[in-house]
Formats: sequence, structure tokens, C-alpha cells
Amino acid sequence: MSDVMERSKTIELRVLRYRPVSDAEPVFETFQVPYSDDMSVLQALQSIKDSQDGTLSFRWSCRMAVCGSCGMMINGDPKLACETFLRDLAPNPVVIEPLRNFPIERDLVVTVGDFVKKIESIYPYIMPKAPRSVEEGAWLQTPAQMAAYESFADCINCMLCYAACPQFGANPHFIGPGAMALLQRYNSDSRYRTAHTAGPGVGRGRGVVVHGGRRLFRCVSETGRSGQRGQSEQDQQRGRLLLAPAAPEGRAMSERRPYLRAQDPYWWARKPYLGYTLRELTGVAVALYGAILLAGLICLCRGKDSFDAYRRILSGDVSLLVHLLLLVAVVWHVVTWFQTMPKTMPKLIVGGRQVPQQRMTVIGVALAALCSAALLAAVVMVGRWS
Amino acid sequence: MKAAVHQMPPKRSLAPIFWLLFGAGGMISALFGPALIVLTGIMLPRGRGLPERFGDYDHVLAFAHNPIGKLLIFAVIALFFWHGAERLFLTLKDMRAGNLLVLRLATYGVAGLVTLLTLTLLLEIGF
Repeated sequence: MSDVMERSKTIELRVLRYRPVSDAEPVFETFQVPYSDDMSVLQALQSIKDSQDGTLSFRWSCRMAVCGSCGMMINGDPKLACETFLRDLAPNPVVIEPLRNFPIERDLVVTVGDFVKKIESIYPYIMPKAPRSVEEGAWLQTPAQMAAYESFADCINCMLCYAACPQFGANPHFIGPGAMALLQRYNSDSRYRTAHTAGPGVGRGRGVVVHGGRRLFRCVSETGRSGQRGQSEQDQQRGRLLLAPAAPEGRAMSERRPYLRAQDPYWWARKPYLGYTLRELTGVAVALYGAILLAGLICLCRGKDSFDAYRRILSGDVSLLVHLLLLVAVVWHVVTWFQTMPKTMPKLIVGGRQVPQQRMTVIGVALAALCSAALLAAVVMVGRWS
Repeated sequence: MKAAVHQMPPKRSLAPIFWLLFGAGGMISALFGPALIVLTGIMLPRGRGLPERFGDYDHVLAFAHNPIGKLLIFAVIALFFWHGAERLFLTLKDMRAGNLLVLRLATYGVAGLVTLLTLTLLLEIGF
């Protein structure tokens, strides 16, 4: 299957191992894997399991980005191992870790029970407006009604978005992006009875991504649900190797000791979150400008001398520099504000189609430029007349 | 069990109020912020493009006496602070910068005080 091409090259895989019976904490183990250009990271892991270490544990099923089982951190990014190819990572070593923010059961296998409970908590099924009998036939929807929820229904529960979400990492009670997107899926469905029941965690923490899934991370398979293939006999035999070594005395192989790695306290200063932190800090520039105006109002209240002193400070070079810096920050605020806005509102459907978020950003920034230009022009005109 | 969960009255949160203030400040500063900074921070004090007396005490006082002028000054100062407060609070929370109550007082608390102060000043300055 994967031997169509010759495995003539070798790549180094650094895999985080955690064996609850023998390891106090997760440790990296390095493997040299012969590979060919058509091989995915998942196939590399399978080749390690076949020929180097049969105890290596990881989840997988469909091998085609449909089932959502093989999510893991690949060079620090949450990815599906089956659709991440070694040719794109070579010749550098590939660092493979279990999904961030989840307790590790064993090697690359994480605990999913909490995630499943969150999905259950939003009642992920249609509760129709009125009962409908089989004789009445299927519900009909217009293309616009379907477009309102369709992309949210593509979620394959791969949990990559939870691994990408530092708010979930900081607060495990936060219901998280996946369940919230699913909530939106039912809320936006015209067949649905009423506003969907929200779990207790909805709205807590700051949703890094609430809507439109694909923006911060690719959450949905491009291939769509094209149906799963049955596993081949050879694949099934791979699973049996799991039972390989005997457990040390007194400890059962089945003993559970999930290991939760601490969240990096400086995540907000690292990629890809740094841009997000800088965006948030433009709010400080906005407030600082408000403070400059407030100082002017206070001086205005205290009388002419005080206000003239304020004007002298404003006409100084320091003030000019401060205002230029504030201007840069606020222009960045304008751009990021309209980049974020389409992600925080329900989908805009025009003529049965979703308006692309990028187009909404362009329109927003253009509108802001127009408003600012109009304000400037108006004040300059009034200045000329008076 | 499920039925019981459905019947529970939804727990109302105060968050939407702060979100509204944050969003209003964010939208106003996005639409008019750059022009305001250029006007009051660069053009007026430098006397570029505007008559020099335009920023005089009498002129600005007259603007602050006008009810519409008052409303504009109040909206810009107060909402800009609420916008900054929301973003700074959540960022400081992300940074685990300290006790949440202290962080709230240092951000939303300041915005609340500034709102009251601005309102008081605008009333005190007369009509």
C-alpha cells in the first residue's frame, strides 16, 4: 500500500512517549524512519510500530482525514497525522506529541471523555419545531437555510481546535470551540425548535474561535465525508502488537494514570498567539488616547491658563511622537477589528451564499477609511468657513 | 435528568453589558479613531490645515457647552476606556498577571471611575 515508492530516504521522528506503568512523566524517544515522498506522519508511526517498537500507541482509523482519530501535535501544531506528509517536513526532525491541553493516557493517546461530555451537554441532535410523521416526508430547506449551518455540520470531532485553544488549556471547564461550533450548527438550523440549550461553560473564557471554524486552524477535512473504508487484515494485525510486553510485577498493563502537562504560562508571547496578544493590546492605545482627551477636559474645566498649558504640551515633540505611535496602534486596531468581526457574528447569507469573511474585512476597513476621511474633511471645511 | 437540565432557568451573566461597551468603543475607535488622533494630536496642536484659533480655550469650551458636543466627548472618552478595559483585563488574565479581583478593579474599575469623572466634568463645565 505505502510501498508504491521506494523508501530511499530517512527522517528523524522525536515522539513523546508516556507509559503509565513505567514512566513518571512523558519523555521523548527518537526514531529513524526510512520514508518515501508519498508517506504521511501516520504511516511513519505505523512503520515504527511494525518494525521498531510495537508498544508505540496512537489512535487512527480512516487514513483520509474523515474520522478525526489521529490528531496530534506535529512540530507544535495540532494536525491530523494522516494528512501531514513527511515530504513537507523533511529534512528536519519531526517532533510529535499528543494533543495539547488533554491528559495523556499513553504515548500519543489522550483522554477524550471530557470532550465527549461537552459535546453531549449541548444536545447535539435536532429537536424539531413540530412533530413530523414519516408520511409527511423529509424536511425541506432552501439553499440559504442550509448554508446557514452546513459548514458547522462538517465537524469531525478531531479535537484539534481544543489543542489550539489556550483558553481551554487555562480552563478545562470552558466548553471550547468544537462544542460551541456545534451549538451554532443547531441554533442556525431552520428545522430547529428554539435557541439551543447551552452547557454551563458556554461564554466563559474568551473563545479564540467561536465561528467559522477554518479561520485560526483548519478544523474540517477538505475531503469531506466520503465514507470510510474497512480496515485491511494487515491493519487489524497491527493492533494486536499492542499487547506486547509483560507488565512489571504488581502493576497491570491496563492501569490508568493520565498525565496532564502544565500549560506554558507564556503561551500568549509565542507564535501563533503573539499576534492575538498584540491585537488585544491595541485596546490599551485606544484607552490611552481617551486618557489624553480626558486630561484636556480636566484642564478645560480648570480654566484658560490650565488649558493653554495643556495645549503647549500637546504641541511639543514628545506629544507628536506619542500620537504617531497611537495612530499606528489604532490603524492596526482598525484592520484587526474588521478581521475579527465576521468571526464573532452569525454568518451573513446573501442570495443563498455565505459572504466570505475576507470580503467583510475589506468592506469594514474601507468603511473605516471613509468615515475617518469624512470626519477630517468635515472639520477642515468647518475650519475654513469659520 | 435531561428534562431537569432543560427546565433550569438560564443563569444570566453580566458579561453582555461589558461586551456591549467594549464593542461600542471598538467600533467607534475603528471608524473614527485615526481621524480623531490626527485632528486633536497632530493637526490642531501643530496648526496644520486648521486655523490656529480653532483649538483655543473659547472654541473648545463652546464645544463642551453644546449638548451634542458633550455627548460626543462623553461617548468617546468613556467608551474608549471601556474598550481598553475589556481587552487589557482579558490579556492580563491570559498573562496570569495577578488576582482577578485586582485586575478587574485596575481595568473595569478605572473605566467606571473615568465614566463618572467625565460625566461630572461635563455637567460641571456648564451649558
